[in-house]
Amino acid sequence: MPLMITRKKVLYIRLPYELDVKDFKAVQEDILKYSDVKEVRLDFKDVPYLQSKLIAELIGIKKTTISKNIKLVLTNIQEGVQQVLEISNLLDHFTLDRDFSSYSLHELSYLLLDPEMNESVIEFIVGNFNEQYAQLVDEFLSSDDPILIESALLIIGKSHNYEYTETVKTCLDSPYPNVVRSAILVLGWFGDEESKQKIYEFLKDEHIDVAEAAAATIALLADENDALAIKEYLDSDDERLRKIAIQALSLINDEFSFKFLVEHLKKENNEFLRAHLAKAISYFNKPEVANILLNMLKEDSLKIREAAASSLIRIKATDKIDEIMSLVHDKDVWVAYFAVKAIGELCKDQKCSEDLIKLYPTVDTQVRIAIIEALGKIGADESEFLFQLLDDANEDIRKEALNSISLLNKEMAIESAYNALKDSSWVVRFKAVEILEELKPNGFEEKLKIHTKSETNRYVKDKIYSVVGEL
Amino acid sequence: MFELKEEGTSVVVYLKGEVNAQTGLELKNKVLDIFKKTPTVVLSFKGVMYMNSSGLREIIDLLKRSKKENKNLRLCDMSNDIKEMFSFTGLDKVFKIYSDEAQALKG
Repeated sequence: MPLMITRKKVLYIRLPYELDVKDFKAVQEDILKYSDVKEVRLDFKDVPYLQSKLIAELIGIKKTTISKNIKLVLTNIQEGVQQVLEISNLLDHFTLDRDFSSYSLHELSYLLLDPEMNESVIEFIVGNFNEQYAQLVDEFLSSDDPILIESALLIIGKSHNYEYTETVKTCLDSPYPNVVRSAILVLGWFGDEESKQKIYEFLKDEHIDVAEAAAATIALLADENDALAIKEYLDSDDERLRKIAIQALSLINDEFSFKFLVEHLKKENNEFLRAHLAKAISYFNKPEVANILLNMLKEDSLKIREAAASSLIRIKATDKIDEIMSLVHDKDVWVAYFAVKAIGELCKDQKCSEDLIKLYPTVDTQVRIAIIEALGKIGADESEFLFQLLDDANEDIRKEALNSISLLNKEMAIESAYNALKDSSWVVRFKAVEILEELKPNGFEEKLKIHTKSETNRYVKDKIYSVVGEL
Repeated sequence: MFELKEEGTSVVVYLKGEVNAQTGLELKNKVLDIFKKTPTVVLSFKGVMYMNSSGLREIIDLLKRSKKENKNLRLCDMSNDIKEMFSFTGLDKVFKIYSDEAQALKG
């Protein structure tokens, strides 16, 4: 027979291993008996398989709960049951959930070893931490299993259990890198400044995860002396260590850190790390940052230019619009491209749109596309200019123009989108459907349905079906 | 200093500009004050451009104190850059972080 309890208007029913029709009948009766219940949770933890004759009973329970306006949740469904529900096309009709409260301590320990379950089990124990779970944590800590020890540390850290601080410190001497890493992080979360000196030793650890945790924790616990100690790692031959040092200095974010990062920018040759530096420097709230990023916008590497442009956008460098605009004239296509991208995000002034339109005939196709996109983002109504571009020979230009019109002039966008359904390029037709879906003009679904009769492209057809439903 | 919005039994606090030692401390005191009257506070990071470790430490301390008082502290609307700071320090595993305000209010 099913085991049943109620708590806060929720009826919990644990189903037996050998589930039978009579058990589901009993469930039905229980639901009817408890008139004030708002939710029923059927626990399938012990049920490995669902016979097909039980499907009808389960549907009956679902119908009963719907008629009584009760939420039905199936918990701890095992693979065998899930497969039966999938085959019967019923999976979408039920709400599934995991409920660890019906698992024994032994079972929970076992689940922790499953990488897919580990995080949610830890979350459950943290949320329900009591004497029983404290004992479990002690057992894990004295075990030989690195996953269980790590789980114990994360439970301690996440539940802010400061009485374990000394135990966590002893885990810094563990032979297991994952345990050491977790101990370092937890000591950082606990703000344990006493451990900082010892954590410094791990900056040179052969396991990069451990070194990274050490740098992050030192940054988290940092005082005015720590930037200098971290700076040493900017000169390491190991690129990974240099990256970690950049991240840590950016998090410490004091005067010294800024100075060290700017100095390092002069000598760092790695393209990836320079892009990383652009981002790290942009986290400092300092007037000189925008000029540093403007200079990086002119570097040879596309990666660095992209990082510089997005960092200028991030810091909202609106006072640098004139300087960025001057880069739009750069003979290097990609400098111009990223400058236009930045203008599109930063400027909301019609003057910027006018300047970009003047420039349009003189620039490369890639920059033209960026200008069209920027015009849509700036917001000044330049739809007349964009309208002319709908006849351009290049399909990407037509598509981008259509998109920007949709951001600036709804009436023109609807008319243009209907016309664009006849465009020779499927990419443009696809964009037209997206715009009609977004703007939803009267009768658009009917017109799209008619269009499917002549549409030859599979992607456009599928898109229309997703908007109007299968015909 | 901080814009607030009441949503049922929750209060959304909109952080702005820079989260450092000073603004972090102000935030902590403000939220602890709000917790006297409400069980759940959502911190929206939408307007945050800069954050450093001192600011982060104040937010950790706020979490610690909210747990002690059985209150719910939820974070939302973080840019990828701010999210990276949390994951670098492993704090993404400690805080309840939601993609947007609606999700955070739902819990």
